[in-house]
Amino acid sequence: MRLLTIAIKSAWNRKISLSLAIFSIAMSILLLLGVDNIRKQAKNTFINTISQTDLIVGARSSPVNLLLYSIFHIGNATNNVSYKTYQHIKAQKNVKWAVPVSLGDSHRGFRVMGTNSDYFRYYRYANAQSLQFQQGSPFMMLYDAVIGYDVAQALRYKLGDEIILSHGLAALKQAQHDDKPFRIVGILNKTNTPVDRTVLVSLEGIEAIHIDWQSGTRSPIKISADKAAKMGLEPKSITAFMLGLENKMTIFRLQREINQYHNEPLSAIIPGSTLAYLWQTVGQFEQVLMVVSALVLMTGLMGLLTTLLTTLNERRREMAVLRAVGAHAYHVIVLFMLESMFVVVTGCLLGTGLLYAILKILQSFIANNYGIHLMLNPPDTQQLLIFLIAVLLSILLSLIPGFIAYKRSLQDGLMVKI
Amino acid sequence: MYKSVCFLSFVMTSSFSYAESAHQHGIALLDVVMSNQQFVIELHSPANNILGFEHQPKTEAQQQQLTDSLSLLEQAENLYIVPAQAECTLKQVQIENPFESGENKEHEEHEEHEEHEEHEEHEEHEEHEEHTDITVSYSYHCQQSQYLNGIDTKGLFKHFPNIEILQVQWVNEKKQSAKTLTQADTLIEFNQ
Repeated sequence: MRLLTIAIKSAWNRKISLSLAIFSIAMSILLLLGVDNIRKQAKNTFINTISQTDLIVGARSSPVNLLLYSIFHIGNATNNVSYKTYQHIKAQKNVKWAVPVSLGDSHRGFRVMGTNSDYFRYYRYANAQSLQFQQGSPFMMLYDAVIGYDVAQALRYKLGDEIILSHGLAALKQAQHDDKPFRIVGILNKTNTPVDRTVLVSLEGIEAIHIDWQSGTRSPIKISADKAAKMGLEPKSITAFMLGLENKMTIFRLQREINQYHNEPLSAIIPGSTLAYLWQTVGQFEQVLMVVSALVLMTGLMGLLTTLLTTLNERRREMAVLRAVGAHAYHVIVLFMLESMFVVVTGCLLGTGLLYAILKILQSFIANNYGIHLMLNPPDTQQLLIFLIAVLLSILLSLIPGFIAYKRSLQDGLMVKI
Repeated sequence: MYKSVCFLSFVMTSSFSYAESAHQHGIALLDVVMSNQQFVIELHSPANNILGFEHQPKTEAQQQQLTDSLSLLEQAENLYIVPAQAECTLKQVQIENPFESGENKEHEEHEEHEEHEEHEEHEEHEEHEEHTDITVSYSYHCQQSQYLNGIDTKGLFKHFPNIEILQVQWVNEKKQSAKTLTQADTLIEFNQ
């Protein structure tokens, strides 16, 4: 492959313009793959978060809103569901299980979720996986808490540690439930779902810490932790609840019944369907993003073409000499092909490397702020296809300067004057 | 977090009132559920999509239209294509006809519908009487339900061109999903 050595040596002479071309290809590949990666993984994160739950019931709101706040902890509930309603629906004969969810408090930036021990029994994520304990066990006592994997990692908590929950989502000094600390009794395994970032306590626990609070502020009458434990702690309302059915055939009927529930305006959603509708809409944004990224890649390739064309003049002599020492016309064309392939392949590699580096750095930031767990997966077939298309386009584009050079090298011959 | 909420709330404001089954002409809902060998398709549509009107049939022609449409709705094989390998047999078609024949249907409806659920529907009627919905449920039994990998609703769109958008929710043992169908895309696939 003498041609290759010639190509490399020739390219080395124009290293600055070529490395700029490589850089611009790398950037566009970075963008394209980045968008593709994030959209796929966001979708995966969402889809893998809930499984085996037939219906989610909350106060009447848009289905997407209900799904986002109850399961993904994004946004806030429009209203609560009375505990009576929950018990009434739970008692329907077709309902196999019902798990309550009560949101609203936080602990150092992590959401606190009140539920009952059925949550650990029935909640499923990804392919019907259940929650596993890394250490400890579900909460038994009033002031017990179970924490997700990320919470334990980020705050370096271990079993037996005491934590103070804050009222609402902002960690204000005056809004701490510091008179009723919780003890960590369990740490969950990593699930790559919002559960990782959640502190789980019992509904009664949530009730107990709010027992001496009135409309968002602490009332002057203090009730101690022990005293609260002895009071009736049945909650008056919860944020939402998840339902599992005995027989799936009744799912739509129950959904309709709940949507027309007399005592209270409710919304019942089928999580998978709502996600599909959500993705139908988000899909349009995704497509726009992908088109923009593809256009950026095209721009990068055009930049490469420009680089090749502008160097044509410099390389007249080179080509003419090559022809004179016996190079065929196709050799000239191949030289250009090799060069542009080299630029694009290097650009692709560099872009992918950069992407992984950036993802690695941003991984925890994105998980913390957006709840999306990005994995560093090797490129999938679709992404390999993008590489292939980029390389093929580069070959195609390199034909243009190739032919021009070939034509000229015939005309120019070995003229002294250029 | 703030940003993602912004973005998502933007998404949320776009038409998403599926579960509420708001009465919107041109839009019909299709609920599909399969479990073991049972397979049920349930169509909910404003009467206008099916009949072209939403009041008691007043003229001879409208009465005829109602009879024709109802018999069309009953012929499931003309509306849905179910994969032959699944060996599904139609067991029952149930039509909740809001205009039970007879002049003073208000009364008859009371007497004929015994189930609690339908009572509720009736009460809804009284609240906003100008809107009327038709619900049809098709129950199949599928011998080879593992081959039940999708249905085509081409016929439904063909026979009822007033249905422009069909919002499908489907549930099987493993998955739940949804799809919006139009004249141009009438296929629901269960394995995607």
